[in-house]
Amino acid sequence: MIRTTRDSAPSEDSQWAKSAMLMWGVFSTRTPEGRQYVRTSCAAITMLLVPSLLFFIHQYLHLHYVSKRVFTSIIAVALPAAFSLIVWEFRKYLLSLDELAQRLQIEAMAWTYLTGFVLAAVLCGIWLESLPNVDALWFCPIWFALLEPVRAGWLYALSRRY
Amino acid sequence: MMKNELRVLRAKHDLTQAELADKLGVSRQTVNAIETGKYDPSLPLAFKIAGVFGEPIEKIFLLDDGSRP
Repeated sequence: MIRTTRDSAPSEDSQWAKSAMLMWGVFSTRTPEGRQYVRTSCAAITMLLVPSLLFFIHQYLHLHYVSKRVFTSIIAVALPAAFSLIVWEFRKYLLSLDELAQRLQIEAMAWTYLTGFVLAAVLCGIWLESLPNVDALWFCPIWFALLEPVRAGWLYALSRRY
Repeated sequence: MMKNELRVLRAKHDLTQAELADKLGVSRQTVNAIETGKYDPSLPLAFKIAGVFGEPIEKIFLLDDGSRP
């Protein structure tokens, strides 16, 4: 028996889940590796954002409860730690993918490298220019967190080819 | 890009894309992309496909002009 109706129509145009790609930059959050990547990313982002936001509020309101040095030291440690966690988990996720999915992820990273840094640099400039009274230099690396949404966008765009 | 007989063979063997993907250890999207000629599989995957259908690789994959490699 030749089945053409059973799976030709739904599978011809069925692609990877849009929401998982755009939200998390993964093909599926239902696989154990995808789920783990999302969990780790959330933990890492929280680890990075909490001290950064506290520092921002502290500086912006000219408060003096905690010394600037303490904040900057915490952020200096949190930043590489958070990104290391994401990178480590992403490496595991990438290795769990099949060849087409790996190719798409790597291609998305390449395009992110080309375009994301430009975007991050522009946002850094706007940030520094618009908030001159805040010592915003410490916040600049946080803009690089935007590389993730850029990668997600590229992943979505590239996956449309298939 | 190469042409292939994957859709015909899959139908002959009464397999869905998901079932074939399971046998090959890839995603259904990958099987779909190969079938529709949007993605050329790696050599190991091409051999796996040939193994699943019990056909020589050159019977499944054809060069773009329709000739056998």
